[in-house]
Amino acid sequence: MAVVEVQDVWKSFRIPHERRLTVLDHIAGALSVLEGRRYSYEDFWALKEITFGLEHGESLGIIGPNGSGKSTLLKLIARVMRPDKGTIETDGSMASVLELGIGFHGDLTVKENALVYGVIMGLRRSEMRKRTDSIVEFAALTRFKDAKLKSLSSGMQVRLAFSIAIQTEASLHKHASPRRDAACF
Amino acid sequence: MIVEHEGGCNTMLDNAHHYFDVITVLAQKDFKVRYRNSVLGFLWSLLNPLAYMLILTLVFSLMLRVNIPNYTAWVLLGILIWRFFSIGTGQGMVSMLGNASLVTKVYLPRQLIVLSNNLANLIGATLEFVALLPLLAVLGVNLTAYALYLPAVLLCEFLLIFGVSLTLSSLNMRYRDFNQVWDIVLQLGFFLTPIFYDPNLVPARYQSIYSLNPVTRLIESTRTIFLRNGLSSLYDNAVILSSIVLLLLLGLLVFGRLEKRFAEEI
Repeated sequence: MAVVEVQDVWKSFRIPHERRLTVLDHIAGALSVLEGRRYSYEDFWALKEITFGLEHGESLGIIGPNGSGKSTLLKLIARVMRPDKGTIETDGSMASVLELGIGFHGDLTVKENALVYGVIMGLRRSEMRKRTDSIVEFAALTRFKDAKLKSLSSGMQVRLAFSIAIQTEASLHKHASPRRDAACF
Repeated sequence: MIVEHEGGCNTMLDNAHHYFDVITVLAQKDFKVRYRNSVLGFLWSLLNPLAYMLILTLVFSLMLRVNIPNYTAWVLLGILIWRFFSIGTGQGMVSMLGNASLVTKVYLPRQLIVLSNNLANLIGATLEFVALLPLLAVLGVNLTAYALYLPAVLLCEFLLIFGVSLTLSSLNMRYRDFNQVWDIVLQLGFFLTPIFYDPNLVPARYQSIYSLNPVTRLIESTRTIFLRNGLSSLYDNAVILSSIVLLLLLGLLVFGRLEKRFAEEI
């Protein structure tokens, strides 16, 4: 059984011809429909009939220009979005690293942020508390471990996020946890 | 359609542990963030209801001479219960917007984000009550063993807030107007709930509808526990429990239906 099995997946987004965000916009839009104008939008197909499978131990890289649907495909596999058509089967569990520093908050300290991010990535809280010091050390941020994240430079923040991401991944693999069978970056 | 093959019991237990940890860290995060960057921190959560208590006492007890025994304590209990509801639903409603990366960049049951935020507020409300209990005693409230029922009241209110927050937060993802609408509903609610006036003043023909407000029943239960030294009435409990069931079902249903597009709408 493949770890990831993507079957005839389609995903579209709407490109509106008018912007409708508030109820008022929608009322105005509905009124203009009554006047005979139609609510118009185009369907933008980001993905059309995508089919592939990945076995355990295989890797797949996807390259393409901006807006060609790479992230959309990853988001579908990670279950963040749903496809319009087709099926996606995954076996085991998934680590999606669609972005570094998920859940980071500027008002929390470096250590507090590390705990939140690590737990979201799938580590147990107890495990994470043991590792925080080594994560902060690996990111070369020991001096700043109790500083608020917002006082760090953006480079330092990325270093912290990266350090947490690879340490949690390493730990989850080492423990042969069933939580991680596929990862998308 | 997305099929996920889970590795049986082990993975389910693994997931449960994972979700439990996620709820814990997110609730802690929301609670900490609320008081960061302020000098007085949690003290504000006490000063705010105390200020309301003083204002309402001044206006209604001293100027309008409302005839309710121990009005100050009576009004404080109403304020604390109302505060939990209005802040809990108001923050729960925007909890996903404030955690956009948790919605768009990683898979989690999104209900957990709302639940964690509500939990942070449950902890806040509980601490407010505990910190203000001595004040109730000073105001002449006879603290008896009935006070031990307070956690049950707060837990019921938490479940009620969770149900309402699920509906509001998912609607607010589609139309950001709901945030403004809810602000107005809460203002109206402040007057439709007996926070500062005697609920018996409401004309008899409106009583049957008026008394169905679950927040009113929570406030009345709290006053019964502390001021009348008794247990909340069967009617209170019936309204509260059926509202919880109805609002939770509605919330889970609406949330489940709208959730599919959250990542695109945020």
